[in-house]
Amino acid sequence: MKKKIALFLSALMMFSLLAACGSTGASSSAAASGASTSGSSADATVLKVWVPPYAGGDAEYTDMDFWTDQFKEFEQENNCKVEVSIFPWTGYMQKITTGMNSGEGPDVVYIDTLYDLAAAGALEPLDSYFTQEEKDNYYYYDIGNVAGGQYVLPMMVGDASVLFCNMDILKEAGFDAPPANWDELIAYSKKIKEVRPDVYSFIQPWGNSSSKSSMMTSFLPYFWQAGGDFLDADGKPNLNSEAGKTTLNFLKSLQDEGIFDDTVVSVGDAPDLFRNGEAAMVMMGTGMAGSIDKAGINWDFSTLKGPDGQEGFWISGDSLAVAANSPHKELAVKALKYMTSAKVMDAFHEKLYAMTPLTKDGAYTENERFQKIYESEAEIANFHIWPGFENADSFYDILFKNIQSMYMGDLTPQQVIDNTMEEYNAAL
Amino acid sequence: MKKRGLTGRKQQAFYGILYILPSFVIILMFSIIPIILAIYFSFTKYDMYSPAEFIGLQNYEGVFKSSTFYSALWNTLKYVIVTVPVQTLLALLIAVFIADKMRGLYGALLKSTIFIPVIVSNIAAAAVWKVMLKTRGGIINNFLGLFGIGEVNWLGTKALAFLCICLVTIWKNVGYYMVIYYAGVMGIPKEQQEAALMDGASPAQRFWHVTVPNLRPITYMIVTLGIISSFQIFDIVYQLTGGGPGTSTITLAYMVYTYAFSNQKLGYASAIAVILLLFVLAIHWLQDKVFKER
Repeated sequence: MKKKIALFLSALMMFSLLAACGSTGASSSAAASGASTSGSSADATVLKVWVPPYAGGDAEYTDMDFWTDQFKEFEQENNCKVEVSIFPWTGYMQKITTGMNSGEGPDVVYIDTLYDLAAAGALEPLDSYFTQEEKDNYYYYDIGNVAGGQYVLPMMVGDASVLFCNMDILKEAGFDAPPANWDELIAYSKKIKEVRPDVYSFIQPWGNSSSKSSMMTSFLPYFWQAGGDFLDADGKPNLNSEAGKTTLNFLKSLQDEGIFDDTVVSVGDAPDLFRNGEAAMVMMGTGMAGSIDKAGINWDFSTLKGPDGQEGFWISGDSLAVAANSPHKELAVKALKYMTSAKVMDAFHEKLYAMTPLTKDGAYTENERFQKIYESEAEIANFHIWPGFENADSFYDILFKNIQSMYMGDLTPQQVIDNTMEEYNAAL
Repeated sequence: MKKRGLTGRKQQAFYGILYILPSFVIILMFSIIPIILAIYFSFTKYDMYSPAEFIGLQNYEGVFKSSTFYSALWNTLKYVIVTVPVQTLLALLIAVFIADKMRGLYGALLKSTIFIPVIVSNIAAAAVWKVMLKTRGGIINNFLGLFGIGEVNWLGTKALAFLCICLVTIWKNVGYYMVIYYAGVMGIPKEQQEAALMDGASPAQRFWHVTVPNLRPITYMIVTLGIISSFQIFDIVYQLTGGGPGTSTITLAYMVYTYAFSNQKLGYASAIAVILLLFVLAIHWLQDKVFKER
């Protein structure tokens, strides 16, 4: 009898195991039907949209609230149910990659690293879905032309990296205007350090858990200000160039001049330090202005110039794409157009995150102080999005760690360049 | 009779196979097949989208040329060498202390307190530690400030960042091993302790000559589990330091994750994973030999 019971339990376990392994499709379709009945009609198509969060961590009106509200009209018009998933920024691209590869991924997806996914054929070419009139209405349609095709539609363009300055602290140190170039930045920082030793005079987040976040505010703008093209003729990172050397020497000089101490490799959230009045000058995206205003900081900004008077801004070119394996491509493109329409983006800029308008019929909701850079053709010429090249995330990660090593005294600027290129090429 | 005997053995074998089949299927699906696939992918260029392309030993060549790999290997070995003995010894001492001196309510409370970190996820625990270890405004530095100790750059200096990873791991694991040891200590025959006492053995002698030998099988298991889990250290590193500063806390498992999921270099990541597997097997073989010889 005991043997029979044991045998029965064993068989039951096997059955459960096999059932669990084979239940993916069943469970997902169950989930989908559950979702669709709560929305439109019972047989509505389910469209999956994956995006990162833009509302602050403590915001009462969340990204999910926003997209749920916005998609109501779209769902009714198209008899579909839109399932929005918000994934945190940390590890965002990993989730996207594994999700898209699993076949359970999104139809519409927000991506910030365009090249690898486009080159791998994971994204649907979009050009044929757009009329010339629609294309002309977008300010930045061409930014989506990566890896030899129009694979993405830019959604979050802007957030240019500028030097924010706490003017109360600067005035205490005797400065009425933000520094205009690298030399002034060093001079200001040293003076502020003397007058206000309790705050960071100038700080960069070399302890950020996201190496890319540090790159976009603390490396790339300086590289462009040094007058370099980030990619060489073969489309590979041009780190071992005059601009690369000038940039790394400048970053090292910030430590040599006593502006950075050894805590720089543990500083994770520079904007937070600025908002709390603990840092006088921080390079960050213009989109931070709203939260800085809320914090009551008296601020101004500078479009910093390099040694030869060159300006250079990293700007966000984050985009929406349609997965190549989406079973609802037409509807997905429709959703993508809807999400980037003036109506939705104006609301997005107003309620979640201020950026420059995406379309010519959109309203300018970004802080008015930045209008002079976003509407100046001369400044726009200095805007750069993430350079697109193979295995870019790996490159930034290696470079980030080597710069940390430089600040710990283990590597010289030239060794940072050599080690980074060697490691990057080995991984390729 | 002969026929019935054979039938009985066959029947026994049949039932035996049936009983182990569920576990075998799980091990096959989640351990054996992934290992075989990892070995296969380690000889390919694979990014999850395009079909895997056979490239021979190129991934292994790339790994052995990478200075980060040697940093990760050295950090992983250091991590194993530091955490396994410390957590094993601490768990043993705490278990013996509670079993000898605190069997009542206080003992139960102490056991629960030490066990609580075990039930917290590594990522959540590391996130809390990260906040506590902040250089400016971190609770630990604020506390040290009360005694006139200046700001300590816990996660921004190589040695301290590594030490923090080890300490958080030990804090997380010691409760789990303590409970196993505690059960072992409670299972030691009282007669042996009493006989040693009557022979005039001191507490230290009783511990060394009675408790420790009786717990050898448990120690073997705890050291084995500790070594395997230490070689796999990933989440605490990921959350607490991201492998930095520089490459001072990067580990092999963290490197596997980075190349597989951040950089979509599945083939390269698989080569590192296979090397990691070989290391774990070699160390386990060595450990097995040492324990058996003794």
